[in-house]
Amino acid sequence: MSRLNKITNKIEKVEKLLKDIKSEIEQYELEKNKGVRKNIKKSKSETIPSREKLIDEYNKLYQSFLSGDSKEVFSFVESKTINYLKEFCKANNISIVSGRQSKQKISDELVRWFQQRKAISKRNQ
Amino acid sequence: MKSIATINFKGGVGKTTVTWLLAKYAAAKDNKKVLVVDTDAQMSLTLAIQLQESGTMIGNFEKWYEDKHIKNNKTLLNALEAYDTLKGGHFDFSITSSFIYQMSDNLFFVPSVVDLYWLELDVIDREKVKHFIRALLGKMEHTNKYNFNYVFFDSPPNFTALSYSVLSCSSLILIPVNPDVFASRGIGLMVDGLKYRIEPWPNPPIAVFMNKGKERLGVQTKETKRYWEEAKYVCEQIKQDKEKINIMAWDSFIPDRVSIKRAIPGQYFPDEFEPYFKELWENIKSILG
Repeated sequence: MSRLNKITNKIEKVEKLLKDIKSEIEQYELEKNKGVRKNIKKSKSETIPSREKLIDEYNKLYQSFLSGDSKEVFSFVESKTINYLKEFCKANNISIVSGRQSKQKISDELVRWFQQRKAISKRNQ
Repeated sequence: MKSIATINFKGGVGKTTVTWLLAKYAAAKDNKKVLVVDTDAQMSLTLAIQLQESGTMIGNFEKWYEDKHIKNNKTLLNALEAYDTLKGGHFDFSITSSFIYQMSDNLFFVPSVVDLYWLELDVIDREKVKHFIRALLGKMEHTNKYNFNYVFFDSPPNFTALSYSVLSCSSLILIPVNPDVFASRGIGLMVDGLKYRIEPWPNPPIAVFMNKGKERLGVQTKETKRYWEEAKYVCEQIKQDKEKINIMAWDSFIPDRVSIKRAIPGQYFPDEFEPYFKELWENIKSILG
């Protein structure tokens, strides 16, 4: 009997261990999913500055363009998400074909406007 | 009497149409007594008034132009020559109905003559006739028959002795720009040109606004808005000059629509443009009173 008891006790221990492991796995999966959701939420709620700030950003970007070269513009565009750039273009009345935006096209368009501004504001002082 | 000059050295920006419709608006909708002076040798405004859309002539104006204005030596060039020579030591040019044509109760017109082209050859000394327009307006003020509230000058897209005189004594200079790179470039070039040529620069208020703005479904296109932002940027740069140029960028916007092209030869003010010209006119009055 005592031998049977020992075996039963061992089974109970294995069952408990399995239960603990299962519980840990569930806990792990729960935390993992939460983390993903948190990240998704984070990316969806990317903070886009106000219209005024986006206009300021455009003007600052123009100043960088004036003092250096167009690389600054390309690295700005590369560092932002498409959603951000859409809002940036909207605030600054930069026309981009809806649904066909690419970072390259946006960079090209910005450089085109900056080159025009440079030409327009050239003075005979 | 306040004088308003519309100018842009870039041709085709709509100087003539805007000047005429503003004058029409002030006369018809705001009950002001208004005179329009065509100082452009291209005679765009003068011809537009002569020609109706069908191509037939408005009999009264043509008859007056040939039989009174030209025959009686009462053109703008005759007045300028009288001022230039100052025979007898005074400006001998009477302001009569042969000089000014009455279009309606409140709207009057001094047409251009093709001979104004001579002024491009610098046949008249600019400095000598600098105060010609001031003297002419003074004569009008002393003529009881006309008590104009406003005088509009449709200026040529070049710099002549006459435009020199107009710009030297204007209460306000209007610069229409279009949604394109050339018109915006024109603002800086022109302001620089004016302040270096007119000495001393009287620093009248200069107002820039968008004309022939493109629309889509009744809303300004992004491109038009972007070009307007560029024009405003240029104005801001000019404001920062040490000369303290008094330049303003008005958000008044005149759209590019077919009906505006028919507005000059037509005898009516196009209703659909009323809100746009009302805003522009209110801006003008806020500056000139």
